[in-house]
Amino acid sequence: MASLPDYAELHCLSNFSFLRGASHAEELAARAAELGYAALAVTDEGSFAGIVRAHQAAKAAGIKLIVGVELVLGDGMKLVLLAQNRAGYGNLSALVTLGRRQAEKGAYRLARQDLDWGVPDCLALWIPRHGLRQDPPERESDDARWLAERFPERAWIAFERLLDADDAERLAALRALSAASGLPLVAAGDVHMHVRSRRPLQDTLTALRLKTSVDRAGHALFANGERHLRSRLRLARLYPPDLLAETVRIAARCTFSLDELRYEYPEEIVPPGATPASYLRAEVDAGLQRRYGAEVPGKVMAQVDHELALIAELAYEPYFLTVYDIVKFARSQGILCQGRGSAANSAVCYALGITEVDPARSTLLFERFLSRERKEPPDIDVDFEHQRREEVIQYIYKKYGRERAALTATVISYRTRSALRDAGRALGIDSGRIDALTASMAWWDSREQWPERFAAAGLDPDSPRVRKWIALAQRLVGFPRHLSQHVGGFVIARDRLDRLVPIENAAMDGRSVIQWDKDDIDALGLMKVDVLALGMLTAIRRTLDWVSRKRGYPFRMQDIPAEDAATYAMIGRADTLGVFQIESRAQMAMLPRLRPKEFYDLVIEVALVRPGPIQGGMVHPYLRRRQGKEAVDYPSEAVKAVLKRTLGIPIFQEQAMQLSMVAAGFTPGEADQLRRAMAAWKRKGGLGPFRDKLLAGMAARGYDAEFAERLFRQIEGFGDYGFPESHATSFALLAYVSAWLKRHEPAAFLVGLLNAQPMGFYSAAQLVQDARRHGVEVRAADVTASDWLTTLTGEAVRLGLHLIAGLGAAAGERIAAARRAAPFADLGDLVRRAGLERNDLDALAAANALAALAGHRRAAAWRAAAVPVQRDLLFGAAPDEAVPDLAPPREGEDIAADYRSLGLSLGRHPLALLRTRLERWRYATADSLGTIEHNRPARCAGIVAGRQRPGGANGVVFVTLEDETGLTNVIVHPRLVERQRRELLGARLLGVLGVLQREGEVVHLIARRLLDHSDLLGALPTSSRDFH
Amino acid sequence: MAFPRLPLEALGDPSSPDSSLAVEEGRRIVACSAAAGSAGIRRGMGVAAARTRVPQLRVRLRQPSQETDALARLACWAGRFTPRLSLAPPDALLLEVGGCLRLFGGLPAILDRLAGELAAQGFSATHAVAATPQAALWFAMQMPGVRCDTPAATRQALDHLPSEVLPAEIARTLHRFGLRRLGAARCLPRAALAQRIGREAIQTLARAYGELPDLRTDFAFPARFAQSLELPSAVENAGALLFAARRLTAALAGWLAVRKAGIAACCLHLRHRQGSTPLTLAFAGATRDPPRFERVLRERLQRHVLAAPVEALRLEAGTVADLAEENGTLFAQPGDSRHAMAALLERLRARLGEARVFTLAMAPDHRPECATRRGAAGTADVTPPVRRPFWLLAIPRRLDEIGGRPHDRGALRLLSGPERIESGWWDDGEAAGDLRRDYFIALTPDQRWLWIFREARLAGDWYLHGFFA
Repeated sequence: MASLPDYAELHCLSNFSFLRGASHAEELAARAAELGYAALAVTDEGSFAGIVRAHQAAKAAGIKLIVGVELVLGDGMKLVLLAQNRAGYGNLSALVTLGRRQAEKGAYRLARQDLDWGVPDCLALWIPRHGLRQDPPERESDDARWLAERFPERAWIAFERLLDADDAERLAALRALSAASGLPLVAAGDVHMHVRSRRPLQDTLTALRLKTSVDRAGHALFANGERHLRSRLRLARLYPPDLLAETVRIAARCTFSLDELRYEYPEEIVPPGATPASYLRAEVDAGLQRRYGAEVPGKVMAQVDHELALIAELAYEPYFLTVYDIVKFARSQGILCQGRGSAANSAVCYALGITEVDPARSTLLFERFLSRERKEPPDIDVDFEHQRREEVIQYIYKKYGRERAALTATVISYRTRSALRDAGRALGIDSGRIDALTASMAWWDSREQWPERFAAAGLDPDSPRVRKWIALAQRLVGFPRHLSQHVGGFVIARDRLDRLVPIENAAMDGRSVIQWDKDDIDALGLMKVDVLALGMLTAIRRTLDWVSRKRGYPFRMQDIPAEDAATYAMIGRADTLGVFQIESRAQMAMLPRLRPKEFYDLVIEVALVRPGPIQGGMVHPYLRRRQGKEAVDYPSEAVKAVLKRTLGIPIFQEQAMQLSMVAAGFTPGEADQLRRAMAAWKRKGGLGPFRDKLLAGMAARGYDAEFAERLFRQIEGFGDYGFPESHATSFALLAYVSAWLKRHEPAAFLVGLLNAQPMGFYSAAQLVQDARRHGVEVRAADVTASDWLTTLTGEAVRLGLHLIAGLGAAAGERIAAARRAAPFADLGDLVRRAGLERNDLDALAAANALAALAGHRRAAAWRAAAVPVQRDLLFGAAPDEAVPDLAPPREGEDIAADYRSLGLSLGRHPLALLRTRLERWRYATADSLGTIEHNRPARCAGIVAGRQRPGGANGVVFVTLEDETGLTNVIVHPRLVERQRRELLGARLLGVLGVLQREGEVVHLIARRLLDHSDLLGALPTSSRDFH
Repeated sequence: MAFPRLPLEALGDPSSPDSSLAVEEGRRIVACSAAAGSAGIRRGMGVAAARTRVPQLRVRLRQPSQETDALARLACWAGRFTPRLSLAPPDALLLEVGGCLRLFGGLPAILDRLAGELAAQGFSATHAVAATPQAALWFAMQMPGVRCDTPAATRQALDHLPSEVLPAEIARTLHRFGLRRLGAARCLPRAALAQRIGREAIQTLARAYGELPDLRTDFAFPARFAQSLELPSAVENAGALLFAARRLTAALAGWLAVRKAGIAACCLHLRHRQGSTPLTLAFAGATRDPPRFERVLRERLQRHVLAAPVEALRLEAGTVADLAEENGTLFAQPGDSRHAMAALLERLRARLGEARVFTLAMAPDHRPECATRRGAAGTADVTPPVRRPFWLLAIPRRLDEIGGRPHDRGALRLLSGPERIESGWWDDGEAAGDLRRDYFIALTPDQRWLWIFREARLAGDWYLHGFFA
């Protein structure tokens, strides 16, 4: 038998040609390697978004990847361009950028003139149209001539034999065209999928792209499944040998690999005359002086030296300096910020002011900071005040220019719901049925439950159509759908960024986004700075401003005393509503058990109450040991050194890594690979090899198998959710700071929180109620006293006009300004001097903010309504005419109106008004549940303030009920969840009949039956925050 | 008379009232079936919230144009009771019944008949009687069943109406003043109130209270009767069309009553995705009697075999005659057939049956079996996008394979191919199913050009599928 011909596929789309390509790059690369292809070009349409994945996949499969792109020009000419070398790659990237920048988001537009420069160092394959849309011969020879001129010796005509009716005539015609134009012919496959069996999915994508269903898509579907990676045996039968041989010659001329991309740091971060190394050293030294004075602790000094040596070795100085520059800018503008991420809690970062976590007080795992083996840049995320992050972003754009700085992309992929919806749509299933299905799927349903859900929506899961639906949807899950912008990941280049990666327009004006996401950037070792927004920083800065004003001297974050006993006492009572991180319900349940006494306890608390450690079963052993109910023992001294600070239980990611090193003999690099695998195994799997290695390594070092297994399970549990210690430390610091402010400056803290809304777990109403329970005086929003934002007057909080629904900031600011000039004489005076419109006045009246000038809410509304909608010169006296006799609103009406306008009320809690009725039904208050004994029946009713279904809780739903005395935590077991889904998901006022469960001070109500009492609330608006 | 479920009922879904059905607009429920209502679905509720309550709820998109049509049809139908009526869009009719009470035997009798005939057409209505049209309208919606035949009783009942009967914006304003009923609003100084809620709202109130005349435009009955009805989903069985057709004949009966006329024939057009089928309903003399309409309709539909699923109906009245007058011709005038072709087709249809006369048309499908379809006779269509034989066998015929070559009266020579066709995986036998074939053009020893294929699987069989020449 004759040997198979060599072949390189030069025209192949991955699923990053959205709604066209029907295979992942991994599948394509693996299949091409299996078939023994000489090379595979991934040529997504107008995009490099999938090229990094393709690059990695090709490496893993051991096949040569050619980087290319498919382009359809404005006049319909279809070309595949392939990069020969780094210069050609840069030219292609710039060309794609040009096309993207000339079109709206998600599209590209290129005309023939855009290729007049010949795109040097790239090869061109022309794919002439055929079938009904074939161009007339004159046009084809014109096109051939144009191409031959632009791409001399670099252009081919591609013959794609896809078993159409006219293949033979077509080849003859192309041969003639080739002879006439001098452009050689080459074989190509127009590959859309790795195997033929993807045809149904490919048809589905086509139908979705055309917004129709497969049975209506008609000739838009491909006639057959030939557009897959065909075996070389088949290709040998389909193509003349010279055309196949040409593919290999072309492939040989393309030598570019993405590995050649070298990222270069920007230069302007270093002042003239200095080198990055000298400048970093100088700034770190200066920082240490600031932090410690002349007496820098020896431990810190040693650490700094160690870190700087490693930074110098890896040449990462510019990275630290770039982050330093951004942070310095924020500081200069009074914007609070804090770094986190693996490298953030280094001594260098502390010295540079990137974090506030004192290295003298913490232990950093060095391998987590930077690793020699890991060819990836350090990772620092910086959180900024969420209301002022835009200033930082604009600074970056201004400093580096838009050709050099852009945001990274986020790939939006199909998830369960969208996949089911689109697969159903493509199968022509009526949208009502699709809605019925997807709506009945709760946010927590797993894939195994799909058939059940289909049945519940009245669809037979065994019918052929539904089976196809399920199968297609399952394939579709994980397919990329479009690119979006990452929340704040910036890539900054020394030179033109568009020669490194194509840049697209973003949905937001003035933003541009590169075509690569975070994983791509990581894989290629590009530098990225995450400029993130954090609401708590806004709240803290605003609180500190008020404390400073009140105290009469600047009061900064570092002025907050460390290790304050009163603060820890408050935390131990779980009195942490509004405090960063430890305000969640799960955290609150843990606090009284853990009773943090010092800062490190908080670090543990933050890291421990996370899905990872909960799933890994770390929580209870840790608690037992901490409470002295279980002996703390270590299988060896080496393990003791790693786990001593967490009582023998691994809680942080670093500990898992360290254990793998000391107990199982992993190298630091392997330990780091383990960390990455830990973060990704839920998505990708792949912990298996580590398990074997870990167990073998531990056995060899004499650890018993049970300990080893337990350790592995715990590592597995970390999953996506384990916190590195550095991260937990940063968060714990903000938790401590906010807790201290809540304990010692509750009024200012409330002001800070209200002015930073929306953020955190609780609503403005809950924050205000909590503050009042702590004795903070809160005064109503009032045009004669309030500013736009909430303020502190003496010890009392004055709600700001910003809380009023429907009132604009401009009007609010004008009111405050006019009042500062002189108090308002009457309503007419207010309207005149603050320049208010009718709708401003209506909003103020609805909020009862006119009470001082216009009487009760109804009277105020009556007078406000007299102002004409269009202001004219005649009114003025009008709002002050006599008011007819309108009955004042009843208390309940007032409270409901407060909630509608402000989202909170300073009157009684709505449930206080319903209490007699609730008592008749023998509902206890949240408060009085505390007096009921463990395991006794109890009932409670409250407004549903939150529903939560943690991943590790086996289908249990936690509900938080709120009444006039506080919050009640309800646990709903899965059986009841299924039975009373409607009440659980629908009720605003929920009654719970159940059994009280008490563990120390932690009280839960285990639900046995749920009752929906929402109708009692009438028009009162409520909102529940639902979390996964 | 108000039709609170008009958005739902206008869609004409004849499914039982027990099924949970709702209509949405902008992801909000605008109407729902009784069953859905008793399961807690309310107007204004979000679709997602509604689904949470009733997971099996079927939700359809609102079709405002169908509501307009339905209301106009209902107005035609109501012509049987009174010629003086007006539309109160989007979902109510105002009937002036003072003048025709005696004819129908009093108010209770006329209300009974209205309700009965509406139910037969699948409409649920609420009604009320009042001295002014505006008041009647509000009562029908807010206090169904109220009968205030004097101005005083009307005013008294109006005082109790909630302010929500006014436009939402105005009702909200009144609420802000604590005014929840119209009576409370009427107590305030008129000018001061007008300044706040606008002159128009004050005038609306005055008209309801009978203080201003309420001039409404009478419904203009169309000069020619030709009305269409979209079906909620394509209907494949003629019998199932009866429910929908009844709405059209009821409207026709009312329309004829106003003209004091009758018809001897009318034409019901069954519209398919492509083309339509006319069905003539002939009566043995001019009539406008609904039971007769119904009888002929039922009979005609039962006999008829549908050529294709029906997506809409259209009823056109033929020549209208005074009821007293004798109607000479049974069928349309010969002059109506403008083309000889049309006349020929008509004759062929009459002789062979309607379904047996058709034109071949192209359908966009890769599968040869599905690439043509039957179109309405007389319509020309495009040429195939790829090379296809003129003659396609209805069922491919298996060919022998001898020595690796297909045979049909001798070994075949393959002239071109393969052309591979793989398509139809979504088709569970509704059409040609999931095909995988390699097609060739082949020459027989006796010089016939065939279109043959081989199943694209290992050792697949050969088939003859068509003839080029």
